Amino acid sequence: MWSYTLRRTLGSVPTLLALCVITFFMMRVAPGGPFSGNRRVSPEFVKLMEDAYHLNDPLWQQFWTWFNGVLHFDLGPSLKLRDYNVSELIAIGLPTSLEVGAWAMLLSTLVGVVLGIAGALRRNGPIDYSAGAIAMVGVAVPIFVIGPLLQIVFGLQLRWLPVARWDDSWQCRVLPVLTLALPNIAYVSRLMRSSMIETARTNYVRTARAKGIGEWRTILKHALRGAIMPVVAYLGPATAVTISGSVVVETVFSIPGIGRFFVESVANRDYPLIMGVTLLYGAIVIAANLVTDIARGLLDPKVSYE
Amino acid sequence: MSDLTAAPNGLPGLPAGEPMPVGISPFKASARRFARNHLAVVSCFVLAFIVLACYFGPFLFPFSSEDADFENISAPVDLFSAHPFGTDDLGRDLLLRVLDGGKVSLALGFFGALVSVMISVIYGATAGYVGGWLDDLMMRAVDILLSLPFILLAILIKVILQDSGLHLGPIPLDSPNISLFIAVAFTLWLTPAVIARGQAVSLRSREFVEAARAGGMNPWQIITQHIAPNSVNVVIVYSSLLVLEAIVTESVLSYLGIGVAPPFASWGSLIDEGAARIETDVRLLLLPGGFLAAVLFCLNYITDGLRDAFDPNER
Amino acid sequence: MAFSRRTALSVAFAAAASLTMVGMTLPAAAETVLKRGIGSTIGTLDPQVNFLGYEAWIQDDMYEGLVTPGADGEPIPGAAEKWDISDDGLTYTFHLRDGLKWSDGTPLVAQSFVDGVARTLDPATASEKNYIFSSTISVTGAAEYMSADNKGVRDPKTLGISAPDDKTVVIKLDKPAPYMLYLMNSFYVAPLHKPSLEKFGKDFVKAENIVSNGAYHMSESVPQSHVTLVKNPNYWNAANVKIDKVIYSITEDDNTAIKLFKTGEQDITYDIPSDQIEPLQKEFGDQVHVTNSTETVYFSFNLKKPPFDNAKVRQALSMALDRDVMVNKVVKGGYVMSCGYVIPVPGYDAPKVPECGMDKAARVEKAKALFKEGMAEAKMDKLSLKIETTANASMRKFGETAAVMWKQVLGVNASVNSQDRDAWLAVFTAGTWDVFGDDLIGDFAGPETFLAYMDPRAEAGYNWVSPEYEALYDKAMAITDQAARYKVLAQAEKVLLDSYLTAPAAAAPSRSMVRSNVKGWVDNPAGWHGTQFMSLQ
Repeated sequence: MWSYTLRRTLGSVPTLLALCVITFFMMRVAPGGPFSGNRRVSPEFVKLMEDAYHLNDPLWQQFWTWFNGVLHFDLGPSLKLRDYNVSELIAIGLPTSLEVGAWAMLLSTLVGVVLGIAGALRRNGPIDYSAGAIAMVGVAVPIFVIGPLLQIVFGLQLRWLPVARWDDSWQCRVLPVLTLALPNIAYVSRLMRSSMIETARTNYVRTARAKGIGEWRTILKHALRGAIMPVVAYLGPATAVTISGSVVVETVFSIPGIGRFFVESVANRDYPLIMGVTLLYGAIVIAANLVTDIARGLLDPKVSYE
Repeated sequence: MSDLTAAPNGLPGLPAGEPMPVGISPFKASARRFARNHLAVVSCFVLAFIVLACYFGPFLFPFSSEDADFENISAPVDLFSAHPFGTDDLGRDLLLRVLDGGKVSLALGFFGALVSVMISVIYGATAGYVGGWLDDLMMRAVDILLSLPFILLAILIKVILQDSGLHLGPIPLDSPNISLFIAVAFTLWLTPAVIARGQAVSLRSREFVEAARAGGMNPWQIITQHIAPNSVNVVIVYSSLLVLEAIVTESVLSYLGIGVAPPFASWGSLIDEGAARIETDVRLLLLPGGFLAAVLFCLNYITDGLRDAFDPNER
Repeated sequence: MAFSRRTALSVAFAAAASLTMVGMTLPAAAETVLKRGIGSTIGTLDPQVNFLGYEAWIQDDMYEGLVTPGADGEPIPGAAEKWDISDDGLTYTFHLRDGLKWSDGTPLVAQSFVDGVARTLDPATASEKNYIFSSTISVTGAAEYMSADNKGVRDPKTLGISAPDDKTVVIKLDKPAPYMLYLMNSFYVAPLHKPSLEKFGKDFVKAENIVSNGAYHMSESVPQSHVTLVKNPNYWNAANVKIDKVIYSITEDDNTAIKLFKTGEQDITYDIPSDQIEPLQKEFGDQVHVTNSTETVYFSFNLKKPPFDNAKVRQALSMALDRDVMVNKVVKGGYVMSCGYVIPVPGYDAPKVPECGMDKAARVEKAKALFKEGMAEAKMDKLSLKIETTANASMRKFGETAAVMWKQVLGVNASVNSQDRDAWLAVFTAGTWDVFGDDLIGDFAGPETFLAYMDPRAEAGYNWVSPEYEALYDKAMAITDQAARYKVLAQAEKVLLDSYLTAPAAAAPSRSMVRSNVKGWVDNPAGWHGTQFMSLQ
């Protein structure tokens, strides 16, 4: 297993590198630049400003400078948030984004699995229908609608939770985490439900039940282990979904994370910041997929590390 | 879909030894299973109704969605007036605007799914059939793109194309709406391509492919005439999910301010406008939001129905 | 904002408490805290580089220029207690106060102001504020100092700004600039604390390193979240500064900011969303502040593209707009209908486009007739045009309304293309546009800043030729008496309006929610609201 992990980790390096090359040159194909936002600054001076940031050097040279920096853990200066280096911005924003994202992943997996099992066991019962309803809301209502709705209900009407604020208290985490978790709760519970129903029909579960082991023990000991595999396999893609969602959630709830950086840096042509965030997100998704595959291997004897 | 029924060995991927009803093709069997799923069938009808309403409903109105009625700005809901669901802040009929927005969202969803199915099947079939280094290269490219969250990929492509000034023949790739369409379609084809490739790998050594090869067909002919058509069915199960994803992706881009450009509207851009004014005029959110939710509900049930009916493992 | 997690969890009424106590480090009775909102992310707090409206708010609290914008935005003595202006209006001599200090207690000398301007002009600083010194006011030598040919040998001694002694700053101009004092505040001429720049490089603006000279200095800065300023005990007027601490919170979404105001977590918001003004006025009465800003909104026509090179077509398009409906019924949000280019200030008798006084039927008829004539002269029979706007919701509405009106009145097939600001400007620079949904934010409240921008010699990119305008503008700039100068400027604006290079639309508002216990807030078009003039009750 260790050699598999090592091989996969090494194998992801070229993937990341290719991602960086593509993003770097794609961004430079697009016209405009970081300093073209003010009409009263003359074009000659814009060029001088670009010179100050070496933006008029040959592209390959710029890429090499950037790449060399990455090797030394330096992602360069931000061109729009000029008081900071990209590394600093990521260091400040990442813990916040990770915290919200991790809670959302945890919540969606736990709630999704529980709802899925409950639905599968009592098919067409009240729990199944309410779980189905939650799932449908999670699928059919975009999070940029759910977020403001939750703000109105819990923040303004009931005044239980802050509308949008970020400090150390747990209250300000509730709404963003819930909003971010909902789409995945929906997906995981549906996945779990159908997988559970299917597993319940397999021979080994039937055998276990026939042996007279109690219903709950059968489920927890025998069925769950097989049924949870699709959920485990989904954790990788779920990470990507969560990152996409965080871009919206961080805007709605004014959370100082890195999700917002991406949208703004692309629009602002803040090249080093785009590259930094792309590299980071790519690494997170690749790592999540790797962890998912390892977990599947540990849980499921049928999966082998090729 | 007639290609599917003509497939030499029934539905590819069907486990050997699966009992077959006598005298009925596997496709028809699946279709019957689908027809027995009431929720999915009802969803098809509702979806068809909404599509018809969006495309033909506007003809019932004496004015167009761009006609601003400056005498009736922000008119409230009044079912028996000229504007049954009121008007927006430019005096445009809200229902009409939502129907028109539906045209954009639905077209984007369906064409986006269609294009991505075509791309993914050809791409996956080529990679899977040819194999070797080309397969490695093509799949590695997909891996690279999949390692970016799809919304970031869509943002990158949209923004870059939009400002690029590129033209493909008569098609202006840099127009806001075409670049949006490409960005949405581009994020969708990756996962189906992986699925289609898996199918192509398993088809490669089948008798009918061997026969075609022996008969002197070149690889491109085999891919387009045998591999691709027989890979479509595994992807088609996901097609309604792709439509759903296309519509949602577009709406998120609209929320982030890089969606369809006026005077066009989509459900996403209308919801975005409505969400910003949720406290003062909730109607602006509920009408497009309701349509969007209804369509997504339907697509979702249809996806479930298709999967149950066509995926042999689900039986 | 330093709530410890344990405390918050252990206190039973944490939820209720957090709503009322947010933003206070300690619930100490004596400390007064003002919570202000700012719009988007802060680009930079570098005093010579920052350029956004809300960055100016923070800058104004942290630094003091030669003058200070008073509570009403008009310049009052700042670091300089008095100044002399030479008779020809070309030399300004500022006399600094006695005993000025930086926030770290070291003495502040006149040379720091010279260093600040020199740094702004150095291309290596990459500051967008440099144009102020090279074109808005023509400081001697500034343009040459900035230019590319000057690489490597930039000597601040060649600049027309100098410090003959520790208490005097002299500024020499090439052309008279009677509005000079509006630009001598800290946003443009902040002093530079050279030792910290030399020691920390660009990190000198970080909270732990920064040294400033204003009423406040920075104690904390968290990107995407907030900036905290505390009272500067070394400020010369510290005795009269009543608020101990200001927290500027970033609220990306205007609606979120309003919710924060409602729950008491913000005292002053940066903006109010257009559609919320009326409901908020019902709920909060005079805590809703809406006033003119220095942003003028208009449509520009591309003179290089037929048929917009035809004055009759341009006039017809302008006349086809029902400005009352456009501004007061559709866009709303505090925008004020405007019949001219300049945003008028008291004493300026603004000229108006003639259609403003006309009744609707006559206006429409005239527009149709002119359009027909103009199109015939341009040898065209149908017109399709695209209006370029930013993604800003109000600007988009201006574009959409104009498109509908042109369609309804003139049968023009008009569409709107709205994109983010950079892309929008790129279209302008490329010159491929038909009609530009345009805006200009004046550097101060006065006609000079707007008319200087439209001066054909300023090369704003409109390709307009008008020797008459240039002559009037030069004539006005030589007049030191404000009333007399305004008269000539109004004539110049009339020339601009008659050319129909632009179709005026509206004056943009500046909008804020201000809690009733905040005293000392005075609405003013330039948008200066120094915290040092405010107090809490």
